[in-house]
Amino acid sequence: MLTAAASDSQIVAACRAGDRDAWQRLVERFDRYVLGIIRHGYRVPPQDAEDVFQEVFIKAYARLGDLRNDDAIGPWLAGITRRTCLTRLRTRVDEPVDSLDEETADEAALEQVERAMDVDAALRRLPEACQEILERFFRDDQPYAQIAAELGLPAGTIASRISRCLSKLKVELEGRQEPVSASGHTR
Amino acid sequence: MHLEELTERMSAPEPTPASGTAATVVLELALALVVKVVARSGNDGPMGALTSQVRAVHRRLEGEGDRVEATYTAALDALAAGDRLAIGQGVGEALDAVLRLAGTAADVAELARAVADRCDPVARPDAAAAAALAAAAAAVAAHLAGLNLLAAADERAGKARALADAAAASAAAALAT
Repeated sequence: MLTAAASDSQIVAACRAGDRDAWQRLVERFDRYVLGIIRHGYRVPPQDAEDVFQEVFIKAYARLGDLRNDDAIGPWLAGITRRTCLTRLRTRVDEPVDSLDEETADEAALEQVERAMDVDAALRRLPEACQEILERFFRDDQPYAQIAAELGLPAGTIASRISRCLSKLKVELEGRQEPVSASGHTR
Repeated sequence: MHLEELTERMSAPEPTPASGTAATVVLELALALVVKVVARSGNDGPMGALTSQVRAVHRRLEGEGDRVEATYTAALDALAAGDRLAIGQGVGEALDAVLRLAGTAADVAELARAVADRCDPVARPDAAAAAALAAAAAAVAAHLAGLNLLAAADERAGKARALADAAAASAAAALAT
């Protein structure tokens, strides 16, 4: 049974072993990443974005055996997503096919997607209490009072707790390795 | 919109902009004061960790005034048309908008209190003032939420009151620093 803090390589290994829950976990871990590349990196039209998203994960499922380094699942998925986006865009536009290449990507947007993924990975390494409080405040826009009430914490302590958790997140981010980015380059 | 233009529109007999917009403007001013105090006190150390929260609340506040005004106008239109389904939907959306405003106001008040605890003492009166302004905005939002409720037992009434109470407690603490 995979825990919430399972590493990418543990999830990939479980997928290889045929664990369907692990595949679901993998999709959940990378769905925003893949969608970010599709929508923001390549600006695939909304009516095509869902199809491209499905196609990426179908290809990934079929080709998982080709992945040589399980820790590199993120960049590997990014590569499949980039190629799938370009293929889809080539079928839609009237302009010459040759004009659509890697330059089509919005590099700044891809960097942002990559940064968000780094933050997400660092967040998963924090204590569960920190993950919860940061997600409630920054992702779900919950007011301090609601967080305090639902977590049974003193009302005047939430801002300070968030500050402490942010400090831990900063340490995690500064300590991370330099991965291969969604744009395909080592940063 | 310039302040002069806003006050002119606010004074006009049309139903909007009205108290929801006024509360939002007051809240924006309160948050601006918090930003000023943080800037005057330096962005490092404990203050730096609060800066991310200030930014998050600022992002949340963007568009809230328009949302409050638009949903209130839609609810009024539905009431005028006598469409029961539209009334239910319109009033519900207006209520959600002011509840959200109450939550943001309570957060600005609490952020102002936290900033007042840590800031340069010279800037502390501005932080306390920000907390008081935000508490006023929360009280207005909670009052509007109470008026919008179709059923008195709606749990959202309790939520709105709790948010206004939390904001008032933050303001009292900030003013006591």
